Amino acid sequence: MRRVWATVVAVWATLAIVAGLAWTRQPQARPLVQPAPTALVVKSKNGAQRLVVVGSAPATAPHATTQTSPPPPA
Amino acid sequence: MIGSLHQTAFRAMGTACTLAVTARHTDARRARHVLAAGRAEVEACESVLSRFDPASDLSRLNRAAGDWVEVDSRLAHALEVALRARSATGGRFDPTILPALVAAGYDRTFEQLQERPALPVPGWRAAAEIEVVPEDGRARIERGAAVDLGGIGKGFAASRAILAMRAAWDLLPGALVDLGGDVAVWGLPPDRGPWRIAVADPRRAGAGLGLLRLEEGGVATSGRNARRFGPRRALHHLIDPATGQPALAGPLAVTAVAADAAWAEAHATALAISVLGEARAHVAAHRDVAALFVPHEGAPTPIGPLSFEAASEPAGAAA
Repeated sequence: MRRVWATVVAVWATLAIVAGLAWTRQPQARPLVQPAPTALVVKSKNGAQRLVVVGSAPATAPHATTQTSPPPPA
Repeated sequence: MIGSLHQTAFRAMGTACTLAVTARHTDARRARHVLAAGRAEVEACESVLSRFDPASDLSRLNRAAGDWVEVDSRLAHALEVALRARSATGGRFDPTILPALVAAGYDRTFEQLQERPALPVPGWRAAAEIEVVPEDGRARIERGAAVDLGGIGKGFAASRAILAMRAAWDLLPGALVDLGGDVAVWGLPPDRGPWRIAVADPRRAGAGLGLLRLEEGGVATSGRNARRFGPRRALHHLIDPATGQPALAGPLAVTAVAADAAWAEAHATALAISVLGEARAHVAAHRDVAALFVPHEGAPTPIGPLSFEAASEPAGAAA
């Protein structure tokens, strides 16, 4: 009988831990605006570090381009 | 954010055209309807204003020089704008330079141009007479004269297309029309800020000089870096009305901004045959126009109230 109760308690404890983890790690709502530019430090194979900027292009991408009307494609 | 930009692309007026509207995804059907209305207006303008289509109202008007001709309201209004622009630019923009343009060699569509030397225009005289009665849909040009609306037609069509798109949907949030680089904008882009129009670098294909910000109005660029023709492509289509010959003075390109795309295009054409001092004086005299003057060498010069952000890449760097 004691073994049965130990099993029930263990199962409940496991479920409580899983539920707690699920609660604290809920997926974040997707932001409606483009994220701010983010800089990533990337390490290449030879150990050198370089900075890669991601996410900045959409914030300044043009809607159209003005130019001298180009000749038609050949 | 207001949904996204719904777009359509097609060829008209001898160039690549892009129309775009701001709309939510749930309004995609309305957006398609609006884009179709804009495209129909661009194509209607082309059918009326083209000098290369013998059936166009403009071709009929040119053939009947000296006589009154019934014309579509689009041509009547385009002629009115062209006449106002000729007056405002002191004749540097002139819709009656067609005989000089044809003599220079630009006598058919750019696709069909054949190499031949430029011919002189005997007894050249600019500013031929044009009479328009828009309310009656009638126009008449001076006998022996001919009109070309190439320096204003795309801007005019872009502005008309914006109006047609707005009429197609009362709740349209915003719209953009780009006819080969002549751009008209109205309302809001999806990200609500001003519309961002890149200025192409005439010295480096594929590169940009910077970004213009525009709440509403038109942008047009005129220059001698494209559409060159004749022996060794030595000639360009910017005719100086004072001489009847391809202009010698002037920058590599000029981008003009105004409340209306046709107005911007006419002023860009006028500024493209002006030296910097003349361009400054011109913009100072016209508070409804600003410009970006791109010389053959050196940095571009903003003139007038222009929201221009230069590209961070140094000029002259490899593309």
